[in-house]
Amino acid sequence: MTTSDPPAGVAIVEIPLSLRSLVGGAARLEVAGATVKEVIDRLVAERPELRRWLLTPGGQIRSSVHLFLNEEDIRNLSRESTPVRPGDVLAIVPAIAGGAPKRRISANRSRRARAAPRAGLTAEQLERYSRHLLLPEVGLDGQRRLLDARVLVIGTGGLGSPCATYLAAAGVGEIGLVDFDRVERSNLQRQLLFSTSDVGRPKVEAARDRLEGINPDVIIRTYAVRLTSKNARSILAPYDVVIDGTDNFATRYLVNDACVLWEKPNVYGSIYRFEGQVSLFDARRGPCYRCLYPEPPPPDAVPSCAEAGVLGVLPGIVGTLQAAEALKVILGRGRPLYGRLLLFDALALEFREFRLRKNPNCVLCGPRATQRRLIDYPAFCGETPTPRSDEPEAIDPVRLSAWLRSEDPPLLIDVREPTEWAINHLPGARLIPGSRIEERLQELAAHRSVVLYCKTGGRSREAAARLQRWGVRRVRHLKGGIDAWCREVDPAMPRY
Amino acid sequence: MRGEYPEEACGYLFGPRAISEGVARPIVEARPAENEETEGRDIRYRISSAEIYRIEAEAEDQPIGLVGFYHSHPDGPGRASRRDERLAWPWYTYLILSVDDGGVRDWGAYTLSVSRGSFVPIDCRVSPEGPVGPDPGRDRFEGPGR
Ligand SMILES: [Zn+2]
Repeated sequence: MTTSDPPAGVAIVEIPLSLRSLVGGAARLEVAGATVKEVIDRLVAERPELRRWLLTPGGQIRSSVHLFLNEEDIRNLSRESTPVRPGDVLAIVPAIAGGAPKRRISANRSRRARAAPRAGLTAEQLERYSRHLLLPEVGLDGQRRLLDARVLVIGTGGLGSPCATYLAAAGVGEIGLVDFDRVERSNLQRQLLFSTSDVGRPKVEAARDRLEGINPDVIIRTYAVRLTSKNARSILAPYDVVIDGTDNFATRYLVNDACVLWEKPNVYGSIYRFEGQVSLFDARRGPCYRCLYPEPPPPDAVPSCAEAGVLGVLPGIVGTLQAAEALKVILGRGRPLYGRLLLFDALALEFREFRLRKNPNCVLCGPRATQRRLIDYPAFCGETPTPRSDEPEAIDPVRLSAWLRSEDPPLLIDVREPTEWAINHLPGARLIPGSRIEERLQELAAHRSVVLYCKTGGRSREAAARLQRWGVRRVRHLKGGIDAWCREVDPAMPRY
Repeated sequence: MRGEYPEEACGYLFGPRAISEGVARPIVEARPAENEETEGRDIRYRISSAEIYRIEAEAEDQPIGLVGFYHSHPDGPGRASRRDERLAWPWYTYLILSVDDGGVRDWGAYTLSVSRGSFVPIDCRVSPEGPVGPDPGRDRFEGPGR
């Protein structure tokens, strides 16, 4: 930006990158003129090489040239006769347009051709959305808003399934689905988007088929990728509202930070065993997730659903609440959950609500925010394996199986809960739930070698580290848990 | 890209801005834009100038910025149309993708030659280690500037 004051009657014209090579690389030129048209005419007179890009042969400003005077589109002002005052900044912006050669007549038109019309509703839509149209809070205008809205659902698991289902049924025009997982049998207990026949399919594909079946008005975009700091911006960009249906802290912090940086409402939901949380984060209106939890818990401190289990209907309730909040945000109705955290306890059947305040020290949305870009979230959440001195040694299933069949097998301890043990356990193992392992220290220390296992490897690693701190040596744990054992050693073993 | 089908999809291409013509210009990110065209959206696209202005202003001193645009030709060829060429601006990379309801079938990249006033095709290949993103961004396009 030119810092010295321009001479009187002179405007600053910003040259687009596209044309800079024609003016010796200059980003800004000072040009005199009383109106926009005069400035452009003078510019072209001084720099004839710009003429064909800016003016028609007849001397009119080309329709492919858009002009912004002090950041305001001149089409909203007095167009080319808009007066220009000294020091005003006139930006030339290329209009980007084009198209296919000619209209094709294609028999293969997909049903997307019937995508939601921008104005008015079809007879079919009037019928489909009649229960919305009856509500004064929704009505025709609200339904149009829904049909024009774009919502990104991150994770199509327990939370994303019910949420996306209701959004699609409600006629949210575009729904993006981000998930790189495939459907597993253990998902079917709560993820109602999927059928038994979907096991093994990419989740986003199965979800798209199901959602398009519910409502062909809706455009489903699928992203069968892991959301990362690299792709987050391009994935989030087109959407109005983001649903956080993730199951891990790294992605949850990533979603929050991306939503703060690019100003998207973030409908947060999380579940653990019988308890759920819901809130609506929008740093422009209230706190963000980091205001609430500035730092993630240490890895393994909070087991995932895959480790700890979850009541099947719980994500149904929480995901549905997320859908309700998203619809309210789109409709601009009701009292959205900004600045409030809703806790739901399915065992007690209790809803409780907490007020959340913006954290003045929040690194992301506070007044002295220091973080202005996405970071390495797996590292932030301690998920990147950092070799520590007290890191217990892991053993893979195949090696363990050979060792168990040897003459000097290790003592095998199952650190899961009795309910899990009842479903499956390794032959020859003893059950000592992780929380009670200290009570059996002597017994364990008496053995030459001990191997701990759990479902996926998180709890056993943590328990092994504890045993080491108590002085039990030669403690190993089964890498990947009994799940890995099922995959690699005994596929016939029942799984959960 | 498939999400918009059978309408045209369009968007921005980002890459290092300092690279001069004649050198491979890596595209590090493709970001979707709204097709502002209200009619004939299956054969026309238009990207908001206000949005381009905003992106340009944001990237002013950044090494990575807007270096081009992509759009799809639904059920059409992966080549520039007359209209694409007539409305093109110098310096930018234009990436044109042929899509059908199965996804991207073909593509071509062009830059406008100022001296000739016409599109010049540029080599375009997908580098395997490219960043992951939504449909067009899944791959990383590279091409020499000339
Ligand atoms: Zn915050």
